Amino acid sequence: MIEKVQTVEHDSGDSADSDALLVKLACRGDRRAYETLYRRNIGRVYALCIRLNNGNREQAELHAQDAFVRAWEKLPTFRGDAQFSTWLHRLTVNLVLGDKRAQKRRMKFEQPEQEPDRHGDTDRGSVRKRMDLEWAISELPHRARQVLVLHDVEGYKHHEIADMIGMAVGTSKAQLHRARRLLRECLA
Amino acid sequence: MTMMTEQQLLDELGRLPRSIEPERDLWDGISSRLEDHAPLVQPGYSRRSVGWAVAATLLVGIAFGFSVDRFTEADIEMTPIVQDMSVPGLSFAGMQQEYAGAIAEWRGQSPDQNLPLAAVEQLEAELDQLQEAVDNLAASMEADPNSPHLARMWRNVQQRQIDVMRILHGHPGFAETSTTEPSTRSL
Repeated sequence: MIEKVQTVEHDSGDSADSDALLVKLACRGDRRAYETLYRRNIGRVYALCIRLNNGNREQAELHAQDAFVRAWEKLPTFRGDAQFSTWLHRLTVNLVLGDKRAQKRRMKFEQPEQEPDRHGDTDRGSVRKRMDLEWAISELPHRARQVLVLHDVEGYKHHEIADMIGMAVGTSKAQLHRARRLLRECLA
Repeated sequence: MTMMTEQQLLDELGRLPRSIEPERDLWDGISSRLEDHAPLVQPGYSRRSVGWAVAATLLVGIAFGFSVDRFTEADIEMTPIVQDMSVPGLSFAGMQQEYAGAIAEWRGQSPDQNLPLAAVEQLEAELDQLQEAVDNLAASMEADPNSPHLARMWRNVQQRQIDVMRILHGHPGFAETSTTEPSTRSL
């Protein structure tokens, strides 16, 4: 079994095919195969998690771990229609957004979305804002940030985002417009 | 203060790294949690489970084929209009929504762990074929919403879809429901 995994690791010619083989091995309980899948995909999963978690590293790590545990549980349902990385990515989005919804439900009183503090925080300064697009994104209101990250960074379509977040397509478009406007103001 | 154009912003966003490595290796935490979960596929699945999977798949395949065969062009012309195919008080859109809810509920669950991987893959493939049939029928019904034949075919295929879902998830009610007349109300 180990030999198979090592062969797969050396076969960089067709990552999708080797992912499919690793998935089959992992489905049979081969953790080394699953670890290889983890190593190949953790970067993209973590990038998504940290952007959707407002730059919170601890929460992003937790969500990334949850995503890989959930994916392990659901591996038998992976049919190979899409690439494993695409499937995992979608699973991660659903997990993070689902957890955010659950967190919101647990709150007794919904707190209003906070607009980014574009005027009062002089310590951070406009220079840093220009240089740090990631920081500017993390300062966006959470809905606007989710839509912007999923659309402009991750490449999802509005109808997919609307489906994942549970909003109308028009709302997704409006949130994207708002997010871009706020970013441009923030980075000006 | 000069505000960047939207295109400039999109260019900047496009340059963001798609991959960011976490500061620490998360694998150990993941690996330890995998031990808390049962193996994905039980190596010693029972003959009964295999028998169920094979029999159910055959049954669904035969029933599905039968349903489609019954509604060839000639049959439709000869078959008298069945009055009960229109569901009183429930529009086609309502029926679609009702079924979609049931399908989504099942889709969100994990397959029966007693099923062998091959059976799971086969059932999933069956579901995809059935979904394609449902989509095609739904498109036809939009063009001809009053056709009782289309409505009946649509309901039959949807019922088979539900039945396959039940097998896939080890639902105990499969044996009873698969032999009954399809009913949107039962959903």
